[in-house]
Amino acid sequence: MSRSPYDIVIVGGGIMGCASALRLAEHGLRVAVVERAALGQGASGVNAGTLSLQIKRVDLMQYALRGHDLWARFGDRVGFVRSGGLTLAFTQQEAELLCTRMKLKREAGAPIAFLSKAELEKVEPGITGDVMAASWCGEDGYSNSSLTGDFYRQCLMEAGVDVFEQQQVTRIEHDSGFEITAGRNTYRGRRLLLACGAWLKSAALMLDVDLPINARVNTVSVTERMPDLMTTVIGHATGLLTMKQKPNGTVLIGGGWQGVGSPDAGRGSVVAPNLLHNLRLAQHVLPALGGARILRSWTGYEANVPDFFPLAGKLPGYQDAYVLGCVRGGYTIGPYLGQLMGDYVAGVEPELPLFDPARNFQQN
Amino acid sequence: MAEDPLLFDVVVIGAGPAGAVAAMEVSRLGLKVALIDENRAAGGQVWRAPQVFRDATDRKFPRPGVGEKLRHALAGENVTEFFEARVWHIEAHDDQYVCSLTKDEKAQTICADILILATGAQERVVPISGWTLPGVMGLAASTALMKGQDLLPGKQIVLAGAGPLLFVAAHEIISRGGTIAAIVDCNRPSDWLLWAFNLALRPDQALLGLGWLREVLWHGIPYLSGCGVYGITGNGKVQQVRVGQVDRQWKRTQKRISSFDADAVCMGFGLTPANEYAQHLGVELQFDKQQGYWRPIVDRFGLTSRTNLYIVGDAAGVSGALAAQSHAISACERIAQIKGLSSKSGAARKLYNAAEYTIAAQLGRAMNALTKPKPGLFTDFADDDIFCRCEDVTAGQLDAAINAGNHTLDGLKSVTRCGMGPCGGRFCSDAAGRMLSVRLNKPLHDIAPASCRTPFRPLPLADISKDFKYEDLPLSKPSPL
Repeated sequence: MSRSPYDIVIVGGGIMGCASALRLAEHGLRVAVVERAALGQGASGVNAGTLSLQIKRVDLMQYALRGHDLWARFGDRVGFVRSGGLTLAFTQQEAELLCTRMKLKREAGAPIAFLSKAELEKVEPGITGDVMAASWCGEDGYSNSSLTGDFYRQCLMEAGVDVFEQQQVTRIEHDSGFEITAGRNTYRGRRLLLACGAWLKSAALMLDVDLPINARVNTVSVTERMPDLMTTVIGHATGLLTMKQKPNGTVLIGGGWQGVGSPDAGRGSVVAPNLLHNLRLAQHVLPALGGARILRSWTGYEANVPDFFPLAGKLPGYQDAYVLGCVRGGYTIGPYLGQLMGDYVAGVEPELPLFDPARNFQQN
Repeated sequence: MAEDPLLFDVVVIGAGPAGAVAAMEVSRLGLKVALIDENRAAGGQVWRAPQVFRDATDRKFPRPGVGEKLRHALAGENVTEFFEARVWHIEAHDDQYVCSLTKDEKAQTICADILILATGAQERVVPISGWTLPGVMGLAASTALMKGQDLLPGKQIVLAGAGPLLFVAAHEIISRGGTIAAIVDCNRPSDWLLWAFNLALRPDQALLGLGWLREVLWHGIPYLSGCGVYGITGNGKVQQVRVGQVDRQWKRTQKRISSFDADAVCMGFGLTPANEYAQHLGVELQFDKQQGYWRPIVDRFGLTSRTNLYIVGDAAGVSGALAAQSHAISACERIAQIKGLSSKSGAARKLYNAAEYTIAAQLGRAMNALTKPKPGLFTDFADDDIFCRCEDVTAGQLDAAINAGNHTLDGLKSVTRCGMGPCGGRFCSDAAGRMLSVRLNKPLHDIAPASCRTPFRPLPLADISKDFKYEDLPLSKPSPL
């Protein structure tokens, strides 16, 4: 390819990469997105789609609130529903955990309230009677993560961003700019943004940077279409359950139960005992689910670093290479964080601070 | 929850000709074997056990009593049978395969060192305007209905599609006294002749086929070759079937159009291997151009790239029941050799078996090759023709999604929900791949198959939630605050 280099080449066509690309295009840069599969087919497209402030980290709440606003604005194109959300505790210990955590999250800006048993019964009558404590956030809801890729593809096309799909990057070289090789194709960019989720580690290694990234393998399942069983997004105090019924009647069950797999070896796979715990917990919470059949269970990779905060900034040791990923709650926060990243790369001061990838990752 | 896992040396999934024979062979080696199948008895689809009272012997295809013989032989072997059981998940651990199944509304786990997949084939469906009307079914499905339940698909039946199953179904209908309105065959006589020389390999099969053909002619059934179904119409059920000529690519020519009154249409385009188990276990698939489908890569013993994982019979590539049995025997010879067990097969039997396999497989593949859908079937959709029947996805919606840049099967599935219903894409995924291939003008082998998801069959939550105790859940570690 002998064309003049792009202002920036983004490796990774998930939410992070696409949202950054859009903002960079707004700033007038010539942008290419290079994606190994199809847009939004990784974690961005296979997560459970939960948009819940109750499961966001306290220090990321301001980002999450802005992320929620963006999803609400995307609206029908991504199947956005503001259903309100519940978090449930079933033991004394869980009730204490719920109380402590939700108070902190409320202080951080999430409009969270605690519900009495009667109030809970009114909000979600199908729920088991065993609940010991419940919190409520009216801002919570969900989108349809399956639509992520198609949504961003349309946005990128409108913004004039060049998208190259089914291009697995095999080599990245740095001289005056960056030369990204994917199979027989080569893409040149003056700058480079790595936004390839769980594949960040291997991509950064191509530039001899070893980031301490681990990949969790989260499990999600979906039932066949059911009559109306629930209206809200239901979570568990430990975070080990998320559940919602989509407008088409299917019930989506997640909660971060672990499967097995490693990003470079292909898609992960569910682990039966963990999946069964996940499904049994779901049915315990909503007994009527006993009449449903699970149609599909799958896994998605969620990348993280030891302190569980995002990587968003310069790739350590490089002036013109950037990295964005490892965001806990990345589906919710991604569209916003991508904008901040786009501003930063374009030389505009971001609205909220980014997260330096060169920091010390030791967990507190 | 699942009871304690049951341990075996070998687990065989699927009790059709390949699986049942494999189970018997390995049990004769002295290995402890479990045989799992969804049906009530062995026989698979081809030698399906009748579920209704009938004369003591199988009177039907392909040889009288062959299914009964198999079931009888199986009963005499030391094989632990799990019938009416559904394997919904398999994990490959270090040196063991762990199968999760449901049986009798309970979850169960079966572990074995060696896994033999004999999961057979599934029918290839090509959507055609009106194909979701009650009264339309697959050709293979119609033979299962007749063999299993002794029921006719309808009173006035149109048989359509391609390949020998047209005549198998015709024979089943005629022998039950049913009425066939027409046989509509996309192939022309010249297409049949192209493959027919393979029949010389097995004169018995040739005679069987000629017998079916004679039967059709004898009964004066209209046989329209080089023709396809243009559309099926009716008020809440099949009433009229519009047929007409198709060209060499099976595209409608709008010539020789005629219409038949009918209350049933049995339409099929051959079989494809049931790949989901292999795909899930990470066995590499390859595209078989002659057969027009993806199949797992196995050697002639059915051994895959995964240690101790064998795939035998149609699941390794559709070759028919005769080849399936020889294939299963080869796999067991290999297992005996690896395990250092003395097989009863002498060198002569091995040689005979290998030869029989080669011949039967070639014939089976030749017959199935006649059914491979050609691109012309995918050019004439109306926008509101249903493509994915579980999710009511139309051809127009698929076209729109392809035009918007969704050029992979996974992407297409995400955005349209094509293949996301209870059938898991078994009905529509092959057709969606062909649609992509035609629209993008890309060869089929460049369209990767859709990702495979657990559970392989819908998993009832009630079955896995018996005896649930909240305290048993490992909920110790909350997410970071």
